[in-house]
Amino acid sequence: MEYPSKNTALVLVDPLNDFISPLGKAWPIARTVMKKVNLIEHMQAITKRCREAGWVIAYAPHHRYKKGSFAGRKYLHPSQIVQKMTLGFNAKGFGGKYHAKFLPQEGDVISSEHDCSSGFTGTNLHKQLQEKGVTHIVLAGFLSNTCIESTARSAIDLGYHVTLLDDAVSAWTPKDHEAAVEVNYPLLAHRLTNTQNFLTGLS
Amino acid sequence: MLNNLMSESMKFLANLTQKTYRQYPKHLTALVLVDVQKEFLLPVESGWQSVSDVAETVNFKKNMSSLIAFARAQGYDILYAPYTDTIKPTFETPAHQLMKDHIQVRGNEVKVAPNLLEQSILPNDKDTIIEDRTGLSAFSGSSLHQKLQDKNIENLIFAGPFINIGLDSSIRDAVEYGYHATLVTDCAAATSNIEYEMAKDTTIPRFCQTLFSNSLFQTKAAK
Repeated sequence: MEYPSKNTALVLVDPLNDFISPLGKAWPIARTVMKKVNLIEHMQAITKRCREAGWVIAYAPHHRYKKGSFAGRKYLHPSQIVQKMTLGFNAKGFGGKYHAKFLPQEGDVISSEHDCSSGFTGTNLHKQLQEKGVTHIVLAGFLSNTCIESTARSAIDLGYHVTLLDDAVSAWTPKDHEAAVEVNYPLLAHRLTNTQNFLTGLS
Repeated sequence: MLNNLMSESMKFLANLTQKTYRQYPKHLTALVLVDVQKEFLLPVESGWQSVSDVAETVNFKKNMSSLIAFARAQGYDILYAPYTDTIKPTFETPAHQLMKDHIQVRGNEVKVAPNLLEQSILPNDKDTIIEDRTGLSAFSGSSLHQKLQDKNIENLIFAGPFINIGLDSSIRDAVEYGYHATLVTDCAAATSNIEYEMAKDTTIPRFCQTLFSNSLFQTKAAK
């Protein structure tokens, strides 16, 4: 498939230290599927190729925890409960920072943080992508069944063409990953492929 | 296997907090029926045939009738969010195509009041029909959130025939918007067992605070 290069964005969801670094709080739980699908290498290759192709590179970061986070919410999302317990993606610490392999560059779109799962809900991601004329998005990052799938579902309802890559996303457990990429993604994605086919198609 | 253990521990800890959410006072609770319409419920319709294996296994129609009757007796608001041909995505997904294939093209007509559908599943004059939905989620482009906000509703009870399509998208949005979402698992179905089981047991518990069977929900809500 050919992508309109000026109207296509790679959206990197939650490429933060707590997920990716061996020193990250969520790394012990995230590493199994991450290693199985070779996630980091795939995300690096995709990001490099998309930059070369002149695509918009967008970051959709998770909420960085700080004192008072979620104070206004009566009913927390399950992920917020866990984040509150673990102080995950700490705003003042290492865990909430972008991983060194995925640092934003000048001109990239940096969305405001998403509180729950979808990179679009309650953030300025849609507005920024609209301003750049983006019609097609490709998603990569964390987690296959939560933030990635929620962002994809929002994007679909907002009218974007959505590409999902089954080995450029990762989940807590193999079953979570399987439920997302094998059961739901085939219904949701306008294009579902893997990193190798995606890169071959771009070259 | 360490990650499975840690994952289950986190679910357990989240569930301890979520237990306190499970109260359903009349003035704070609404039943949201996603895609509950004749195209997906009448035996002659291809939509019903696509979900009937799972639906019959979980006794979907009987449970749905019971749930709606219970909601009426409790005085809950009931909102129907049907999938209509006003949903015209710029780029169609396989999910859109599946839904579209089962609905008939009749302009903007809302199709939740067929003659042949079980009377107990039909909306009545007090119910709200969300006619302006534009996506897979019942909240997408629609007045649903505003209508619920206007009534100060906090707890949403979800049911419908497509657990991993319309229900999933709607529940994700509901929790993002700050509601306590409850999925009634035997008032839901799917086009295959694997879709139903994966959604109910693996995917939806990651974002939906409460999953109850119809009987358990009614027991908890009646307290």
